[in-house]
This record gives sequence, C-alpha cells and structure tokens, in this order.
Amino acid sequence: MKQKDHIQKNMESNDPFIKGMYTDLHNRIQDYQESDSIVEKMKFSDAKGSIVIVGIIAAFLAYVLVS
Amino acid sequence: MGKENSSISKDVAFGFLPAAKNDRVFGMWDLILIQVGIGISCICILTGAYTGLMVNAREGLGAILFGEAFPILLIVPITIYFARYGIDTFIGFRSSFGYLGAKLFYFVFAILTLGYTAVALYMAGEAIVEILSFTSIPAFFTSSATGVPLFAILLFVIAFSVTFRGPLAIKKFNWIGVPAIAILLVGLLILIISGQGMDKILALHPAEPYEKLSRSFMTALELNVGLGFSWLPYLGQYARLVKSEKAAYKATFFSYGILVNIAVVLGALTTLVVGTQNPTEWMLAIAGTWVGLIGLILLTLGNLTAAIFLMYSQVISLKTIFPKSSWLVAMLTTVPAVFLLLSSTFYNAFNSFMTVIAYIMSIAGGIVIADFFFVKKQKISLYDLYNTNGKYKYWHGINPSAITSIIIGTLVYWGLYNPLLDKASGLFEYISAGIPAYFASLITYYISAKYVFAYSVDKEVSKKAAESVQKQVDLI
Repeated sequence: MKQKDHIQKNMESNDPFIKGMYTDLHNRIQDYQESDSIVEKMKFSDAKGSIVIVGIIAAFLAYVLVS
Repeated sequence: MGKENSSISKDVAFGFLPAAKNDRVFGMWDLILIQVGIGISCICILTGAYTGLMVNAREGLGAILFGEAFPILLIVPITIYFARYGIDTFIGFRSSFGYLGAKLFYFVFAILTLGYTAVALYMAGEAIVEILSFTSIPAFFTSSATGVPLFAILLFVIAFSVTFRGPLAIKKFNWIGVPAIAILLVGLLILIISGQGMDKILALHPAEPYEKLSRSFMTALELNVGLGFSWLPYLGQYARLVKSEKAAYKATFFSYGILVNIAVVLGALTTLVVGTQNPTEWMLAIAGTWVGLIGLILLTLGNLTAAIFLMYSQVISLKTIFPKSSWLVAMLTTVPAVFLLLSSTFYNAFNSFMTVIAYIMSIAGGIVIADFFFVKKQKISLYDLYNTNGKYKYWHGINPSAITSIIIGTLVYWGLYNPLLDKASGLFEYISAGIPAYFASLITYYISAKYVFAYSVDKEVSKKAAESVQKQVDLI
C-alpha cells in the first residue's frame, strides 16, 4: 500500500503554521521545477583559485617539514 | 512574547523552506563577513593553543594552514548543493543519509554543539573567576573547583534566557559579542608581535611536545583537521542564501579555510609565548593587570555571545527537522551542556574532543560528497527531500551505504589513531587519520551505492546520465 504524501498531508494540517508552511513549500518546489535553477551554476574553472591556494600551502608545509 | 514567537516562527519557516529568489540576498563578500564573524571564536583560539603546546611557530603555521584549508577544500563542494536548491544542511543530507539518517546526524551535530557551548561557557567562567580574584570576595567564588562551574552555569542561564527570546534578542547581543572578540584578537596580536618580535617567537620551543617531532606534528595537524571538518554541518546555514553557487563555494573556502586561521594562529603564538594553553591566563601575562582585566571582560562577552549563537543554531536546526516541536522543548535540548560545566574534565579534554570531531565529520564529509557528486551526479529531487515517504527512504529511513561507509571509515580512523586514549599507530605519523578516513568513506560509499545497496533512486541517475551521453554521441 502506498503511503500518503507527507507534503500533501501537512498541507491539510489543522495547525495553521504547519499548513501555511507546507503550502508555501509546495509552491516553492513547483516554482523551482518550472525554472530548473534560480542561481547561476558553478563551473570547474571557478574552483581553480582554491586548488592553487591549497597547493601553495601544501608546498609550504613540505618546506617546513624537510627544512 | 507575541513578537518573539512570531520571529521564531518566521525563522523556523525560513530555515525549513527552500530559499526563494528574493531570499538570495548574499554575495560572496557578505557571506565571507558573516562566516568569519561566526567562525572566529574560542574554539579556533583553543585549537591554536593546543597546537602551540606541541609544535613550534613554523611547524604550527604549516599544521594550521594545511589542517584547515585542505579539509575545507574536500568538503566545500557540497555548498554548491545547498546554494543550488536553497536548502539547509539537515534537509540536504536526507539524500545521502536517508530521512531518519539525517535526523540521527542532527543529534551528532547537537552533541558537537553542546560540546562547543560548554567550552565557550567554561572559558567565560574561568575569565570571571580570574577577574574576581582581584577582589576580596570569599574563596568559594574565586576557586577554580567551585567558582568556575558556578559562573559557567550562571552564564548558561543567561544564554538560555536570551536564546529563548528568539532572534530579536540575539541580534542585540551580537552587536556586543562579535566586536568584543574582534578587539580582543587584534589587541592580543599587536601586543604579542610588538612585545616579543617575530624572530623571538619563531625561536620559541613548545611547552608540551611528544617525544618524536613527527608525532607532535601529526597530532597538531589532526587537531586542525578536526576544526576544518567540523564546519560541515554549518555549511548549509548561509550558503543556501547566496546569489550564485560560485559565491557560496568561494566564500566558504576563504572564510572557514583561510580567514578563521587568524584566530588559530594567534592561539598558537600566544601559547608559545606564555607557555600555557589557557586563554584566561594569557591576558594578565601579556597585557598586565588593567589591560588584562579588559581583555578578560571582552573574552567573557565574546564567549557568552558564541554560546548564544551556538544554542540558537542547535535549537533552530531542531525546529527545522521537527517543525511541530514546541520552542521550549527544543530549547531544553541545550540543557545537557550544564553537565559538561560541572568540572574541568571536559574543558581540559578539548584536544580529544576535536579529534573525535575529526573522526565523525571526515566520514560524514566523504559520504555527502560521494553521494551528491559521484552517485546522484548532482541530480536531486527537491520534492522528495521534503516528502519523507519519498525516494530517499532507503531502508526504514536509513541509507545502508552510509552505514557501510561509517563502519569502514571508523575502522580506518581508529586503526590509525585512537582519539580517546591518544594512541597512534606507526602509520599515523605519516598520513594522519581524518583525511584517510574521509577518502575511505567516500570510496566505500560510491562502491556500496553503485554495486552493493543499489537503490532505484541511484540507478535512475545512472540511466539518465547514460542516456544524456548517448544523445551527445548521436548528435556527433
């Protein structure tokens, strides 16, 4: 037997706070699914700076340990 | 209380719901400032202090910089997940741990937060006792055995009552506490550098090293790796509110991976100069009586604010996972911190506490990264994250692949290092423990989710990815 959808169930809650929150949730998920993503996606090239910095720190660490 | 109740409900809904476009208010610099403000705390100072007990300034700098930046580099990609879907940590982790598993992970986070809260309050209690030792009040109040727990518990009561009132009261406190800790750090740094000079500091020897340098260095590194990985449950709190995934990634890397190191380095240098890891003893030793007393007051305020922030973070996260629980019940989950304030046992075991965190969070980090990037290939159903009878139910709400990873990660970590007894294997001195445990957990999760406990939700993603590749091949 299929269990009842948790979101739909809470949209019918007697607690006005829960009911309002889950109704808002339902609308937001629909908005998200229609627009796919609302933020600019990251590319691998955006991570290059952090990788270089960790590389420099690793080189410094190696220098400290061998000297 | 009406206004406070309404602001709490607003915060609960805000934390629970996926961030809408108009909630995305933070750019990269906004997020850096917020996370550095939160991150620079007594926890960073103490981590640095224990580092300074074991290694000299040059080795300490290497252990601190690498120990923070590398774990953050390993876990920071998960901020892309939180930023893309606008979700908080514990809702996001449902896809990898399962609905019940994410709730259990919250309890691990709560224990971690209780520990942090206790450390902040105990340090504040010590600072008050140090201040009172200049007065002629009865010895009961100035003794470390009775006075420190008493004042730490009194401060807990203050923190509890401020947090109970909700975000409006907390915001007022932040205007005092955050500048207090900032002034304290800058003041200490100036006093140390100008008073001692860098050449003298670089020549100082640690007060309590292990017999072998490699053991001292790796233990110091492990402590810092623990701090680096410990940010994992906090990454979703603000990353979900940024305007771009790039901003979430970069701001988190620079704030938690690089900038909070200022406090850690300061802790290490001060310990080397003063010879003790106890921050309350630094003030008078470095700054003299009057400036030292001001330092102790700032330390008390900074730690009290940190405790309030930590408490609120714990309680609001609980309300996000269990929205139907009452605010008072959620607040009562902070009370166990009092038991850690009754004596100095927990406070003095801070280094063991941090390495236990390294153990837990390195494994959790491996699981969530493997799940989002390698198993789900960044394809998550937002609806099913919230529908707790949905795709991420796995086995009774727990993902068996996460359990398998925890078991293997535990064997790797404890095989290399026992954080409770501080016993290390020979291999620990070459590869440490937290970082290998992260990779063991990541690889185990991938193999398990793909080939052992392969649930339909993971197979669907593989099928979709294969279809997409086939489409591209056909086009060519």
